[in-house]
Amino acid sequence: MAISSSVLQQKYSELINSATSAGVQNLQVRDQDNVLYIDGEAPSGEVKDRLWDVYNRIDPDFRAGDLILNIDVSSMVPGTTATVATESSNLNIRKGPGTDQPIIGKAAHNSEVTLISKTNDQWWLVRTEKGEEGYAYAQYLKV
Amino acid sequence: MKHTRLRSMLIAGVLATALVGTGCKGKEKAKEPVVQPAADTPQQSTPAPVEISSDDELRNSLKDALKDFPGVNAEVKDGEIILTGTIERARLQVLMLALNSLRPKKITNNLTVK
Repeated sequence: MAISSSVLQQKYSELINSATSAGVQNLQVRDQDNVLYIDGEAPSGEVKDRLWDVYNRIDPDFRAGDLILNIDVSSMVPGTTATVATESSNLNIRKGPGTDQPIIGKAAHNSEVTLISKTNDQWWLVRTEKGEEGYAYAQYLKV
Repeated sequence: MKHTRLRSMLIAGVLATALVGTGCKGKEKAKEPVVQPAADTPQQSTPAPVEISSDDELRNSLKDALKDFPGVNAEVKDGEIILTGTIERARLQVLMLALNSLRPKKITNNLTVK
């Protein structure tokens, strides 16, 4: 498709092709100051994880410092239910969006929370199964 | 001569059909809202510049992102996140995933991976 692709686009071509074939929307691939920026919205958390596995295979342990992969999950929308995907511990529910904010509740590992609204890429306002409302770190929420 | 005339008539007929065909297509297309640029417009000729967070924004969001990674240190300079310390390989991808969403200019991974 692209008339000419850069050295970095060639290096990460498998990743770009996987994103396209997996239905990543609003896919943007940009070169800037010797770093490749890939942005897009994956249809599910599984697709996002798969793309990260491809990235890790092309650049083992992410050592090259030549790619910023910023993939959102488009199914993470207010009203949907997300699973608490911590390693094993409970997820802190905080009064505000920040780890400096007091903890007002906990959501158990693998339990479900309802997404209320997205504050930013890092924080979501959620409601736990017990009905507690507060802010949770987005990284630990999977849909 | 007869053959030539026949052939030219045939060609004219084919051409006319082709023209009518494209004419119809053009009309159909005109009804649809124009969403995509024309095929001959060079794509991504002037892509929007990549948004990079300020160092203060990065330092602030790193506090949250690194909370569950006690062995990891991060320094921020001109949009770049420089990682030092140690991490288990199984946790590295989780960390990188979080850091890539902070809109840094670059991530330099100098972590010792166990």
